[in-house]
Amino acid sequence: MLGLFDNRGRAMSTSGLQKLAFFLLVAVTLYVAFTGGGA
Amino acid sequence: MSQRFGRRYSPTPVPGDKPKLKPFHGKTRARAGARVNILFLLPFPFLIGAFFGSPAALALKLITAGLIFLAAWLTREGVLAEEAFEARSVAKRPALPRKFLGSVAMGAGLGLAGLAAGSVFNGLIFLGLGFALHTLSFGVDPMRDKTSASADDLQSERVAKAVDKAEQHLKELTEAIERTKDRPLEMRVETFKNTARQMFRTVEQDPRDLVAARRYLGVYLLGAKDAAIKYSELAVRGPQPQARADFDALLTDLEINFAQKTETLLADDRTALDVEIEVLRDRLDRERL
Repeated sequence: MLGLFDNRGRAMSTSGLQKLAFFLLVAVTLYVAFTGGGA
Repeated sequence: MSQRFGRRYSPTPVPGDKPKLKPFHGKTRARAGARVNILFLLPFPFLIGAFFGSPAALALKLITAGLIFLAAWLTREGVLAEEAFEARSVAKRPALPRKFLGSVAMGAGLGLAGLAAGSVFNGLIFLGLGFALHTLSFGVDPMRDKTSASADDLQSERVAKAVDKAEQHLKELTEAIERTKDRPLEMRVETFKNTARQMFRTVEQDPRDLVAARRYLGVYLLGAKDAAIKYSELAVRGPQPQARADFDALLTDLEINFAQKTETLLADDRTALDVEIEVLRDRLDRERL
């Protein structure tokens, strides 16, 4: 799913973790942009 | 008259008809792809939002947008530098930890946006989140120099320097030919670069080859670059079929010479391997009582 999981029995691959972190980074940035810094 | 069909894809190739290297040979997809491009889009909500608040908020949000742009740019450069680092077997680490600085700029940008809302605590939270998430998504810069297993640091450094210089010649050669807008010639230069790079990799893997290859990495590439610059100066003025043919012939000659030299270097390496195997097998033989 979205390349988050690998096929070697690991729940999450390194690149999957990177993708998740990147997704969160975008989400946090948009949150800050649209709420004006959580005000 | 009739000629037996036998080329690259036929089962019995014509003897001596060696398949040429493709221009894309040995290259991989650039990793500075979608994710880095998305980073460049992130400042836009801040840029637009900046114009719907007080002047102080406007300034802070514009600075935030600038910092995120800076982070995106640094990250792209960092990813490209890391790729260049990984492509070589002997390399110095990037002088500037660009990805790390990108993380700092990202954290600072988001932290500033948090401060704009008037809360230092929010600012600190976003600073931490921005820095940590950016570092997690793009990883850390290469920290240590890559040296060859069969050479000391000094030798590896010498090789890295020589290859750097040779790469610079190749870059200038490419730029000169790009100015001529001659697509077939550009592709021709690409195949030559592949051949030259095979020699670079061979030298990197065994720095002892540097002495033998120094003329190729230095004088010949410098000559090729100068010829390319002269040719491109002529070619931009108008078609120069004779000069083009001469330059093409020069590239062919260089390519053949580089390929042959690489072969000899590899043969030397193979001899060294053979000796190593021979000695070990002899010793094992003697152990067998």
